[in-house]
Amino acid sequence: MNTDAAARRNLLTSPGFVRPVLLMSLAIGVLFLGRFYSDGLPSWIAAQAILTQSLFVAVLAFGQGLVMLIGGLDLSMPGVIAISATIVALGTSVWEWPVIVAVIVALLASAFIGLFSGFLIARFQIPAFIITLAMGGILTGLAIGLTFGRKAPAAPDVVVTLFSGIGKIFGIGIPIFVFLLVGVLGYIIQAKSTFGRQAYLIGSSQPAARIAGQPVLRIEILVYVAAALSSGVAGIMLLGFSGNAQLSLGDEWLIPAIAAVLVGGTVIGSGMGFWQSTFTATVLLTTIIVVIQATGFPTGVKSVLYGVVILVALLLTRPDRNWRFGKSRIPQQALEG
Amino acid sequence: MNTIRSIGHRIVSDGSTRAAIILLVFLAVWANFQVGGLNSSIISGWLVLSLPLATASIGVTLAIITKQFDLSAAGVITLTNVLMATSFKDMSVWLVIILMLLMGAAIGLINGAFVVFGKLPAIAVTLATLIILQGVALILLERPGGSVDADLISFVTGTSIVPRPLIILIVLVLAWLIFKRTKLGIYMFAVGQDEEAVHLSGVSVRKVRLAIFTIAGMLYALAGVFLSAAIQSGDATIGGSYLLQTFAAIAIGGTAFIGGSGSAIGTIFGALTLMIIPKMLFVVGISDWSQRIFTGVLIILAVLIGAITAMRQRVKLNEVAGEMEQAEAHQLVEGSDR
Repeated sequence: MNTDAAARRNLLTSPGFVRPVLLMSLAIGVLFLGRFYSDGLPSWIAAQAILTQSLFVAVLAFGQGLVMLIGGLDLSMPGVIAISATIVALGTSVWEWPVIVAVIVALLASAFIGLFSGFLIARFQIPAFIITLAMGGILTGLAIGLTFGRKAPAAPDVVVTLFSGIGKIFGIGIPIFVFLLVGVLGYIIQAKSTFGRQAYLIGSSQPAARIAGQPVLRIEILVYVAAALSSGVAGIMLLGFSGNAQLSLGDEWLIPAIAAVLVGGTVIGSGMGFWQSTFTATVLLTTIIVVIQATGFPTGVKSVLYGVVILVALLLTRPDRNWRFGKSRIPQQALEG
Repeated sequence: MNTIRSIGHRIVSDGSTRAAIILLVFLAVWANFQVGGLNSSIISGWLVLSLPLATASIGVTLAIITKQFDLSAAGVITLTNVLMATSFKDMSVWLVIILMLLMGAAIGLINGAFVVFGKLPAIAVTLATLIILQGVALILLERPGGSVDADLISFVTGTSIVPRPLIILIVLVLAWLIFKRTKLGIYMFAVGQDEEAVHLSGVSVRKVRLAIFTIAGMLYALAGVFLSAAIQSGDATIGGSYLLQTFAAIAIGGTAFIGGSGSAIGTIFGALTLMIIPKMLFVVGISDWSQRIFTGVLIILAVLIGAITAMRQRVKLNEVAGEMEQAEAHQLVEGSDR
């Protein structure tokens, strides 16, 4: 009985629980603060818009979070988004593929891109951001080449219905259900699956993982495949959201994804971080942006704000900082046990 | 035979030489396909565009030598450009340049302070700086516009026997050769190679890092000045492409991304190569989108060759170290027998 109570106390005070609750409360607080700037806030419509946009950030932040957990940074996301959206849009509108075939081709292409980048990064120990930056340039070129001479191809109707918020179940936009689904799936993969645990392990110490007999190279490559796949999925969603496959589709979503991972408390290359915190951080960041947009500030303010938020998040979650918000309690628990 | 082999070895193992050869090949292709051949105004145009990239990339190279990734270059360049095109119109342009350099230095110092005192990863800190600076530039100048001082334009883009940008590049090379031999230059390489050893020898690693970040920030501002002269107006989105291009120039220039080694000369070759690619592919008749693919593939190949060479050298070093250990162990065993 005693251990049960202790376990419950541990759960309630663990950062994996405290942080998401805190971030979520902050998001709701910001939404209500919006009242001072706009009469339309807070409202059910605003909340729906926030959760819909959070979906795209969350999908990207899942992949980006895994990469950052093992010490990398994936800057190819806008490129993968563009190529995946272009494949689906062109496939259905010009080449007359069934939607499902186009989606599968786009996801296979994304996975292959991740496989290729991941192999170069893991095998030759090249900094991830350089390979992914170059890869992003190549993919943008490819996407321009594919659509060459045409105007941005339109999204298939199914995808539009699913991700633009037009489609509703019980009056609630479908993206919101997908958002919750992404939350659950992300938790299962990052926190509970063998792959997720392995990613944590090589994030905290590659040599230790190697000594423990883990296939380090394969895990690292798989992380980049997962990241590229999440960009591919986000590409299809954003295609539905915006209606056609513009090249710049993914440009404005990379920074929010990185910011969400950092605000969620993931420390780059430390194997420390919780998906549930990243997930709730996407809601907080999107809420801040929606409120700012309602106040009519110039676009540059959004950029400045993201930069400041990233810096503050970095400072608050410094690995050597002796404050529970940023500190993993795992070592202490190990001592108690 | 031996000399040929050693030359061959040098080409493969030395990044700057590799970069120079790539540049020469591209230059030859360009000269061959350009209708009417290359004249000095065409060459000058290429050099004017290469100058800002080369200057900024040298700054990033310095940071990489100390094992830090600085992504803020594009931000400082953009802000400098926007400020020069919109503000300080009643001041002498040379005073404005000094002001810009001081601003760049201050931004670099702030980056360095976050990294050194905050113990934060440079790549994350400078990403934040990049976003903030681009945002500020966008607030100051929402649509491209403004004008750049005519004196500055003619100073940077003019010709005195040889194109002015070439003279500036040569000055940069000389500055690099001198800097390499100064105390700070030597410490810079040492910090990248073995931070612990530098610390133990009584040199402040923190001060070296702060100084390098500051110098890098100043070089980005200088790049912004050169860019303003090249495009003759202000544009808050102009710096965006510099994030990829600075690292591309460094990769093609043969600096490995592992710290402790690198050369500004190779980086200048890399920047010249990058800026020649669109011109070369254009005269050959290849479209814009293939250029992007070509550039991306070239970057990946350059980084790959650099990484493989570095790995080989590491293996070789380990072998030597292993042999020495064995020899020592052998001596010990012999000693104990006696």
